[in-house]
Amino acid sequence: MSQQEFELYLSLLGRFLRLNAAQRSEIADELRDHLEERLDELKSQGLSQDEAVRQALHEFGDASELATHFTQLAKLRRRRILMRSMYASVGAATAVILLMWGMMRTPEPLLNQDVVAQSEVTEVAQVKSPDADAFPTVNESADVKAGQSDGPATGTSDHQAEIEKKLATKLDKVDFIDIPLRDTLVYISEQIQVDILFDERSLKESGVTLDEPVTLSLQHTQVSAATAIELVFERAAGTGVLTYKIRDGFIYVQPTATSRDDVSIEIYNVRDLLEGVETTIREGETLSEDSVDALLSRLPGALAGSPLAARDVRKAGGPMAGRRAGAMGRPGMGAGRPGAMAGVMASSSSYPVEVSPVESLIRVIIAATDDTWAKNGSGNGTIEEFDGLLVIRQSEDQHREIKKLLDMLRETKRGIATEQREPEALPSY
Amino acid sequence: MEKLGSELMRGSLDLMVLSVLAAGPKYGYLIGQSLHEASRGMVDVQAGTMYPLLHRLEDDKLIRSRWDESTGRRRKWYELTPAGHKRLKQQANQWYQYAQCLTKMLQPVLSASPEPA
Repeated sequence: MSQQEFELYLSLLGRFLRLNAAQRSEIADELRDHLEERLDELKSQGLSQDEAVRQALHEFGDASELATHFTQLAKLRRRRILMRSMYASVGAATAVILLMWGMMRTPEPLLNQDVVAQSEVTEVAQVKSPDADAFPTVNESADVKAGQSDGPATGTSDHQAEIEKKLATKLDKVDFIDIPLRDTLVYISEQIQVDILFDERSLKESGVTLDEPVTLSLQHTQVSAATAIELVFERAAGTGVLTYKIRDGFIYVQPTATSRDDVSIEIYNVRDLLEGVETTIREGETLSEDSVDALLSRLPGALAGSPLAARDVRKAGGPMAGRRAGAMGRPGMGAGRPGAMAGVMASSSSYPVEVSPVESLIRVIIAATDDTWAKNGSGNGTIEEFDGLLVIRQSEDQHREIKKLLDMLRETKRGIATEQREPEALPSY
Repeated sequence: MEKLGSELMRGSLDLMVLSVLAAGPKYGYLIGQSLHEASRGMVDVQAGTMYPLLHRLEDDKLIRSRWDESTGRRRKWYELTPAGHKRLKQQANQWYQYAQCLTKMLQPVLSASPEPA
């Protein structure tokens, strides 16, 4: 019985340890030896086997704390902190104090509970900006970010842009084999020189473990840091479970659910996308997925109509009531062709409807993103239009998706424009 | 005598471990015991502190280890390296000077008031 308990303890410890199998088994052997000796001693003091085991394990302490002490990274971080503290104190030192610091070579052997709860990477952040919050808090209030005048608008500070740029840099090599998620992120963090912190509490509550082993090997391509992060997230926890947000100069890893509580407003200038788009008349709406795909691949020419008519459709209780805003039917080059739409419609309310270009764009955005919108879903997101600018209130990860979508649309539009200039290239319908 | 608080030990545990190994190779549990004895009970170090410390000292090449299975059980023995011996001596000297300096500074405090319980 006692042996089992201890082996269980060791395997729990093994889960937390971020070393390879050989190193782990060595530590296990060493601790096993220690435990046996301790048991012998306690029993010679008169304790029963069970009592001795309980006492000995109690002395060992919490497995996760123990593991934290053991990890290589923890060591590295602690050393760095200590070195920095040394530099800081030299200025104020007398010869005696210098001597004292010279002797304080060793890092803290016992981390207090607070530090254990944070990731090792957090410690570096603390040193770098000592006035910053030691415990980053999730921002519940919406903050307004002013946009730029062209292209998809992005966040305010230089920090944001800087981090995004660093996230776009290609990584040297990616070769993770059964590396804990946390460690892969530390590696990426070092590569792009951006701190990556973890919302430990929310992650724990969501049951996401940062120690999940990740295997990712890219031999022939160099991916951006952002892509690498998404890939390791996927491998560790499945698609869409984890995400990150950029905060004040660092990257904050959270469960997607938590991150979505935190919305901010961004302004997107989509005048370029709406330019040259003609009003078309279409009938009713449909929830067909194919329509969405068709639309996304050939956007210009498909958008049409006036907001008024669109409202009529909603009033009539058309298929708009569904979760995903429907697509506008088969688009074509140039003016819309209502005839072709008949095939894709499941229309109960089939009267001609005009939908403005911007309305259609809004519907495309809503259709192509997750169910995070207030108007036809279960989320907090809102999207409104003002003078060719989209004012979107969404979580950061959704903003990222929207930017990607708009970029794709722009590229497609550009591609089509090029084709149009070369008449021979025009496909025939 | 009171047990040394972790605050005080923090800077000197490395040194203590090195000093305990100066007498000859020991395995982890034995090192813990020796620390306890040599300090007359003032030093009580947890396994969770000691083993990472030992591994770190080994990483720093101040001590080296080897496995021994002669007792039937796998046991890891540690001993000082030449660099470890050197470091021990250096640090011991530093500490001595430090202790003297501090004692001198605190003398008036100790003689002026009655000894704290």
